[in-house]
Amino acid sequence: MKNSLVAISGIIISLVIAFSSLAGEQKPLSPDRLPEIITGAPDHHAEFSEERRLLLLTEPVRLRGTLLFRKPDRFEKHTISPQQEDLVVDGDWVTVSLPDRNTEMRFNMADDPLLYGLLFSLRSIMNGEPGRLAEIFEVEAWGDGNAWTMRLKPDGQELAQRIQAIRVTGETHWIRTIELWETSGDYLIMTIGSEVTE
Amino acid sequence: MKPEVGRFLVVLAIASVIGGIVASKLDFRADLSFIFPDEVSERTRFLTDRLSDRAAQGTFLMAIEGGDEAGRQELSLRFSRALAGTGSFDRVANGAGVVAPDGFEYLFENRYLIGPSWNPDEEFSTTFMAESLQGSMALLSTSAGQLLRRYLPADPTGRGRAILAALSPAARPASQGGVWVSRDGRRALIVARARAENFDLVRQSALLGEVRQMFEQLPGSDGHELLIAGPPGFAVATRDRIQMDVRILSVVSFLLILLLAWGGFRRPMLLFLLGLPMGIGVLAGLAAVQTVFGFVHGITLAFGACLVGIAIDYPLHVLAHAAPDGDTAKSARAIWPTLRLGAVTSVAAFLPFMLSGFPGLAQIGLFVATGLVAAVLSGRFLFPLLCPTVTHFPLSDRLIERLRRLAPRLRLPLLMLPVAALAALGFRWETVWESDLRALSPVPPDMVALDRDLRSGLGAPDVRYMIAVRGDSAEDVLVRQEELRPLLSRLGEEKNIVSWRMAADLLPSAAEQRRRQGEMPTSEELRNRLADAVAGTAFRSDAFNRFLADVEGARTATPVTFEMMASGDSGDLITPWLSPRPGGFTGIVMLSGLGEPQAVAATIAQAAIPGTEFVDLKNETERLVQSFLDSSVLWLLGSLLVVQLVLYSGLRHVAAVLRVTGPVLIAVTATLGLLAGLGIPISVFHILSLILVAGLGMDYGLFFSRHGGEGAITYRATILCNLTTATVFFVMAFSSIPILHGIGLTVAVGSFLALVASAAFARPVG
Repeated sequence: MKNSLVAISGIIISLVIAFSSLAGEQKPLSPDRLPEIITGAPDHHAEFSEERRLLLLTEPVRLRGTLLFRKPDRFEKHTISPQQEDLVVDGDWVTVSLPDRNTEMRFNMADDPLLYGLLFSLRSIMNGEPGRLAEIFEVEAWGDGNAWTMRLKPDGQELAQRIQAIRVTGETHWIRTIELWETSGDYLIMTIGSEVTE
Repeated sequence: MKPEVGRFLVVLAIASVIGGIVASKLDFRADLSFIFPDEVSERTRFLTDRLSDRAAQGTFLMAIEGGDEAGRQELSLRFSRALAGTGSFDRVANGAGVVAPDGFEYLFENRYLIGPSWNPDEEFSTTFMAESLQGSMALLSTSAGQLLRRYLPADPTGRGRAILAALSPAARPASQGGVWVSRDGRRALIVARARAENFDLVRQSALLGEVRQMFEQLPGSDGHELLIAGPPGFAVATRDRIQMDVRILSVVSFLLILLLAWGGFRRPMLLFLLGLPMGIGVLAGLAAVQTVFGFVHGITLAFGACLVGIAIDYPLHVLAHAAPDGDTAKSARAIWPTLRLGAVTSVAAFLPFMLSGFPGLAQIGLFVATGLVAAVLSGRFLFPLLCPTVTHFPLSDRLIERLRRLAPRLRLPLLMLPVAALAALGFRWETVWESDLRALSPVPPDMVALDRDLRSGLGAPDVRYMIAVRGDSAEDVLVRQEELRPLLSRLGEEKNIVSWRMAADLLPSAAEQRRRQGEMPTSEELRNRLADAVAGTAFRSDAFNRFLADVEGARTATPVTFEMMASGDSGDLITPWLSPRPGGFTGIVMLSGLGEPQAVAATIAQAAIPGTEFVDLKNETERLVQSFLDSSVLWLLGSLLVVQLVLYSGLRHVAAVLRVTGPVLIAVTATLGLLAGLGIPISVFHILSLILVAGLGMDYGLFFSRHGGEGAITYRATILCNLTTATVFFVMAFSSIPILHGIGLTVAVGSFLALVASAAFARPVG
């Protein structure tokens, strides 16, 4: 009895914490106003940490490394740990290399729905074109210029088959976190540290 | 309107109607199958199969050249995507992305029954599973591991990857920036397979044009070149080059006939009339071959078109012999016996080929024989109707008289020619004959080189050695291949072979599959082992329930049979390696990296596994080409003999026959000697050309011996005939198609020598 009480209160507390950022502090924001807030980030690099919670695993996989962004469509993600990996996106093409395993792979962004969803939202925001998000997502937003949250639900069937939702939080034109809920039940959250403008 | 003009229009109308009908019925083929004998031995069947492999027919091998490395990679990516977007191809690969072959899903479903063999102590052991999980764990954090995430719950031991690895070629293409490149890194490589409905030449040609256009329209394609090989590239390039050569030849022939018709005979109308008997001959030949064989081989047409050489002589003779009064009908009547004997002899020369066991030779024989009969008949009966009179003649009498006096002085040097020729032949005897199959192919040599380069870049070099395994059923063959496996492993350990590929590596025999089933752990046992392997990792204990279910399913399933696999999506993966044959099944074991082929052959023979045989494809090809050449030489001798008999029955004097055939023999041997002297390997096309030369030479000789008394007239006629023939074939000798080059050179040189020799040994006038 005592145990279940603890459990229930635990759930309530965590729910409150989870929604506090949404319901507690941020007020609904019309997506039409986003372009005033998200005006485009300069070329920059930043550190990131990422957590993947996979149904297969009892504990999350944690990644860290650096990101690099150059307008309009260059994006690099260099993972340092736990396994070194370089992901370079140039235009529509993605190159993934694993230096330790000496393998290199190249593919079109559109062939990997998960990556496509993440990259599309990332680029639209960094380039200061939040209006483009509506091309493939249903967009909801909360907050203001100091702190905003966006919830993106895929519109197209192909994307919706793999992605349940994406949530992005940020301040002015910077992104702080990206979360992705997969239809499979897997989840990831990437947190971006302070950006260094180039 | 003159009556002959009306007649001409009628004839033209009839000819074009018949031509239209013939053209609409024609079925052309352009592969190498024409050299294969009717009765194919089991060994040569592998060759015919390989040469007419349907799947290979639609495969475009492409390379992007020029620019810098990054530019080529970018283009390769864009281009592949554009190709895939057309929907005309069922597979486009350039090394980018993760491409599992069609039918892989079926293999994955049956992954524990089929694929490379596994060691029962390892595959399902706790240790192996724990190791695999550790490897997977590291990959899960990567973007590259996203695909793995999907398959992992069902396949924690990576069995799917093991099967994929067994499918990919032993030598992987080199890769730059995730895109396939040639060994030297200077070409980006792309393979595309057309959908089956695009296999015919017309569609392939259209597709090739679309592909090129698509490439040129890609942004950034400037300064880059797209090279296309593979069967579609071959077929189209060959056709285009033949068309170009034919166009050049047509223009030259047109100018030549124009010169003759207008400048020589002052009758522009002759421009059409001179070619008429030849045109009728070609139509008749095509119709005959199509009717008898049901298709016309490209080579038959190329060679048969050489009818030009003989057929145009008929109207020329009729014209030139009309010199006394300009009446062509009268001259046609006068020279008919000679014309007829010449034609009958030529037909007789090609007749033996019709009886040969090689459909290619038989087609050429039938084509030429029918064509000649039709041409000589139209020369005799139709031509005078259309061109009743002639008033002017080319070549002045003075010039001809001079040549006539010069001719006999050439006797001695001409007699020396065969001696020199035989010496040259003897000197180079070892290398005189062409035994390379490629030399018979109409494909231009630079295309062959490109194809070989691209193939080796893609890790699919030409395979030379293999083991044929036969059996009454597919199961039989698979069992025998499994018996062979320890032997192959031993040969591998002894460094006598580097790798092999066979059907049994992908699809084990039913017996082997049942053995595997017997060695799979029970559901309970596997669950326990898996629990041990998962313990201590970050994986959840119930993460791999699908794996447990799949293994249990495999343990109790009915074994996969050849029929099941061949009829599904995965059919393309197995049928090239194992296929039904009359009276059973045959599988092939491709061997690569042989140290000592003889040792391997001996080992295979020693093992004496029933139905297995070591095959050296290069030897087989050479043997086949050699036997084709041998039989054509034999038929050449046969036709020379027939010719003597026909001539004797016409001339009734041994001396007269000798006077006609002597110069021909000189011309033929001298031409052979010249080819040998120039280091040109003599192929079956040279031999066939020599028969044409013999036919032409006999015509010259016959006219000299029967009409020599008519003075300048015969000289003019034969010189005109030969000038026309030699010029056209001389132009052909510059063709980039090896076959046309060979025919052109041989006939140009041979026919000219035949003329000179016939003139030199002609009966003195008066």
